[in-house]
Amino acid sequence: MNPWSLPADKGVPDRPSVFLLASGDCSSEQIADIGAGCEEEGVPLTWATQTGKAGELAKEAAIRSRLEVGIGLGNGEAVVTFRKLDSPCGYVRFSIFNREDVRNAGRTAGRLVKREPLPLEGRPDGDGSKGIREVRS
Amino acid sequence: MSIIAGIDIGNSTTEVALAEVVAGKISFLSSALKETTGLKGTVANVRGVRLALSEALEKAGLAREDFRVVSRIRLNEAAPVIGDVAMETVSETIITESTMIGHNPSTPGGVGIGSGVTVDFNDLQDVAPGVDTVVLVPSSIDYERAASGIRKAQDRGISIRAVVCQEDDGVLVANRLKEPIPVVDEVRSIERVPLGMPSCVEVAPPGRIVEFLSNPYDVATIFSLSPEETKQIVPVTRALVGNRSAVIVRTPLGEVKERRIPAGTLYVDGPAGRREVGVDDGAEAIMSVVKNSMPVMDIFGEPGTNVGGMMERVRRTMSELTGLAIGEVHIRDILAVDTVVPHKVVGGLAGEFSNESGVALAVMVETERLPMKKLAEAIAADLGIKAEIGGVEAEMAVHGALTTPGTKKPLAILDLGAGSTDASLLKGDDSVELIHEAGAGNMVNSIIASELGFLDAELAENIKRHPLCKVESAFHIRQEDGTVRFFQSALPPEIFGRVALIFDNDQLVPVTINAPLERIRQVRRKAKREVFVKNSIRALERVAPAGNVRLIDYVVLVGGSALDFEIPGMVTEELSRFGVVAGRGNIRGSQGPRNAVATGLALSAVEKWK
Repeated sequence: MNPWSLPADKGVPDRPSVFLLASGDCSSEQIADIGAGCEEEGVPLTWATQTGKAGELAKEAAIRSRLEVGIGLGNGEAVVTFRKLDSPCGYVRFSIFNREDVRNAGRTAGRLVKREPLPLEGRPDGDGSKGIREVRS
Repeated sequence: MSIIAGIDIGNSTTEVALAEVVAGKISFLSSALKETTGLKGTVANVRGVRLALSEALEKAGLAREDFRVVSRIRLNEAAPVIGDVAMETVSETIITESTMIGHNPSTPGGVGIGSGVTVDFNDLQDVAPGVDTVVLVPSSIDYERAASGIRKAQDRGISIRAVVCQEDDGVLVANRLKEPIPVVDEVRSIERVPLGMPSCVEVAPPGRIVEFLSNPYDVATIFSLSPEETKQIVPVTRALVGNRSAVIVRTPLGEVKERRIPAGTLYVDGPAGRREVGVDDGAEAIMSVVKNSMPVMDIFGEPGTNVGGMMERVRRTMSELTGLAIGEVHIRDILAVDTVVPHKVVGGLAGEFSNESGVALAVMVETERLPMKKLAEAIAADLGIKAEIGGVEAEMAVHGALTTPGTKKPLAILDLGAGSTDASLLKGDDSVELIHEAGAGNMVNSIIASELGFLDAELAENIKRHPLCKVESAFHIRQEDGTVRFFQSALPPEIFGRVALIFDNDQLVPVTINAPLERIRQVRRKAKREVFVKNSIRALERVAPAGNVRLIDYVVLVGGSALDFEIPGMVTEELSRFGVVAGRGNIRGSQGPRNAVATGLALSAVEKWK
């Protein structure tokens, strides 16, 4: 079993990790892809399945994560959020069209933990790389 | 009673000072600032003048379009100078063709150094056991397949020393191998890596930078290079300095090309004849020759050299801008600043640059007097107000600057603009000495862009004008002075973890170049110091009595760059060593460093009536 991505019932209790809550319609491949994104960033993942909308799942996952970063997966969406944020839409939302999007959600969670710039290139309002883009704070 | 409008048409802004004159006494009513329409000195300026004057009238409580209340307009005679900036390497340029990858993926996998022959992942089964191999994994192979394929090959006795991946999965592949080997990932153009060539891959531990592939002698050891070949590999190794991971692929001897372009010599024509200075002697040597050749009549570069090409380009640009024939373009001043110029490394597969030492040159060319008379006539016809040429810009500026509280004659002004730095000295007997110098805000932009290695002019301007911060969490930023600020609502994900510029109203704009905050700040401050502080001293030495800056008591900074958040402080600090009171101007006690020329124009009207 990949030590970087463990189900909550088999993992080490309370280990510092990003928490993923995946709804029943998610495949084990998608969970593995989220795990790969986190692993590439060097941050472990703990996961469990639960029914619900991606945004709500993410919020609950963040509460269950010791690193305070959670991912909700379901209905063609991946939502990444952190415990301190009180928003039903999460911090970053990915529409899932391919495996790369799923993995990006995992990478985003890993980078939130490490406080590094987020990989948003694929998103319509992603940062791109040309010059600077104005963002309102 | 009559109302006078002093109007200063500058390169970028048109400024108005509206004043009322009663019995020879002047009192200011209002000021206005609008963008200059069209090229300065042309009839296209009329629209901007109209807008600016309307605004000033409105601010003074008069009707917006009621131009008849204004009895006359006084225009400036703009300084007939124009500046340009150029950059060039001074070191000899050696271009080699050997293939390297020196990019910085955020998460390379494994650690260590491994060398072997490059083999495509799909050809692994053809490799004979015992051969040292570096595997190239294209994006069509996912990390599980890549790792299991490599493990199987290792079981067959193939010694796999390193892996290069196209996708961002270096860590994933490395975590699935039996032994730690270096894995470089995110090599987008992996298909350009030559196959069957000796190569070497290095991944440094986290927080460290490559040590072997950035050292020419280690590279020589790995590839058994001759002393001559070692010399040629230097630009490659230099481009790898500071990276956490790197790849060098040795290409066959026949593919190595070399070209040397000498840096060249500058010829400075002054009153004592022509002086020469080698550009590789550096900025200080160049500036000392320029100083000894004042007033400079013209400057040329040695043909067939880097600097020769550069001066030719400058002359051509200037000729296009001014409409003068190339032979008529005379370079009257030059400011040289030592800098680094990024050079694209031939054979780099990720657009790698090597930083060559170089010199930035700002030049100033004297042009013909602008057709201000024609413009004055056009304004008079359009607005129905008498318009006249009030006087020379620098003279007006110094009179305007004298309205700054706390100043008196003799007074010097430093006009810190975008294209040139101008100095004028108003002596006790009201005579004015004035000079124009090459090098100002635009040169700062060029140096920032060159040293940080990007081309975006707008980004350079923004870095110059705004302080930096690092977005450390979704709720707080650390500003460049070290203070931390909290935000009540979450900052957008686009700037999370990034270096950002703090615009007005706490608007945060991410800086997309890959450089830490400290480096950007250091480059920005160095560029400003090298251009504005050095030029300020140089300019004041030229206008000061006997060239002695200590004999000037008051220096007032005006112009667009005087609005900068740190330039006035830098200049003030430096000039305080000479016992000079220096600071940002506050025209009429209310306008800051703006409106000096327009104010001077209005004031000069009264002086004439006396």
